[in-house]
Amino acid sequence: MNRNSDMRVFTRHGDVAGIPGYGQVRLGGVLLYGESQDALESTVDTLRVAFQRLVRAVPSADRTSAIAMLHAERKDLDRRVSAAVLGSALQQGSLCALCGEDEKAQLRMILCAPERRAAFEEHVGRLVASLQSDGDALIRDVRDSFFPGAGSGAWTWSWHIAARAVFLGRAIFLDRFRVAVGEDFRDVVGAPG
Amino acid sequence: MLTQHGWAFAGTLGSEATLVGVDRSGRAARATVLLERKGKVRPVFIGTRATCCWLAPEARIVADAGSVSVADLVNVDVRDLRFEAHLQVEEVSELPASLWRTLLTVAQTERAGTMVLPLRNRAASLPTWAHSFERRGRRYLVVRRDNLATELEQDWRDSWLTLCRSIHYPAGEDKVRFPLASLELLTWALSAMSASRIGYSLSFDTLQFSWYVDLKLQQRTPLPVERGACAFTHTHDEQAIRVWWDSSSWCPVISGFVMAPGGA
Repeated sequence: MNRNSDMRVFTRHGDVAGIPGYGQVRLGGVLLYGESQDALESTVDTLRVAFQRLVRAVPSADRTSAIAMLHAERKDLDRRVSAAVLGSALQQGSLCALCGEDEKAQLRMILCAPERRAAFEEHVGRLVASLQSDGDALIRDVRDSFFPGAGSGAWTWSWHIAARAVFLGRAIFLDRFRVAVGEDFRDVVGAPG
Repeated sequence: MLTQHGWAFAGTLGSEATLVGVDRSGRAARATVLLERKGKVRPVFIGTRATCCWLAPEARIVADAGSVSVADLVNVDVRDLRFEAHLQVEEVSELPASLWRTLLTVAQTERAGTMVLPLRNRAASLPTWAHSFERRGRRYLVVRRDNLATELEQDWRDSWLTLCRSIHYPAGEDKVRFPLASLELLTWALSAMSASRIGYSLSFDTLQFSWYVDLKLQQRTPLPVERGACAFTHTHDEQAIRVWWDSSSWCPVISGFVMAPGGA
């Protein structure tokens, strides 16, 4: 049985089969059940808004950390429920999903609130500009520059900025902890002009 | 949009263009359309095993259940709808220019007819007609426009597939991951496989949302109509281009999807 502070949300039909007038909502491939339709829909809306609020409170997140933030508030929530509601928030365009590239050249999803996207991309531009003058930087130095005094999570936000710059071809990871300016390949394609 | 020379950005077509679409019997046919720049709208992504694209929410699309509103796709179980995919490119005479423009969207840099592309898929075979090199642990491919043109004239389908597979992200055996920023390259790759009858299927992160498209090579070619597999709304508004056409027995094709009468 899974519950949150508003009402119980179930992922198994058997949990509500005996309740007259139980509710049911499909989110992608997951069916959620509640004790009534109205209350279930209301709870799903509440969870969706909670994701928006939590992701808006940070510069960036990933799927795991977004779900962890929700579970910190609603400890009894089933992980399938939170994953389905996060998918729903993404489906409705309530959260941005940007591509980043990690030090192993694998794609990574970076979440941010739509209203924070411009600030995130501005940070990417500032990082690239600083790399063009300094050559490379430790992620912890990016953190200290962009998020001075910020506590837990700031290193990861800085890593997201670096990963986005790498995906855009404007930087490269030297390892997980250090990022360097991207190549201009002038020796390959020639100098501009 | 599908033109006689293949896929082209609507924004590059001017206010009037000849497009390739399908007629009432499902055959490819050309017709002239009017294109009008509209304000910004919030695009909707739709994907099947056969193809995928961004569409304006006001557009209507042909499904097995008839004409459906693109905006409604995010509020229904998209698996309940089946969509036709039309990916055949008629003429290939202008391929070098079209594909060069498409490659520029993912190039690291380009100057004077030479571009550098990242080589991300170490498992994929490399194009033999392009030079590769390594720098600071990363591999890159140097593509010269004249070499690409020569290669495309010989076998554009194989050349394009090899190139696409080598520059995109490996995602398991015979599977390549395209970020959504690379959808135009992917659409050309789907046309190449469709023309060569190479089996493939597309897959997405979830039914509700995806931040990538996985292309898997396999035995089976997509069915003429495939179930919806993913639909979601973009977070930001984008410039929309309205397409007008007269004929009620002809519909244009956008990234493989057949638009329904009533405009796209």
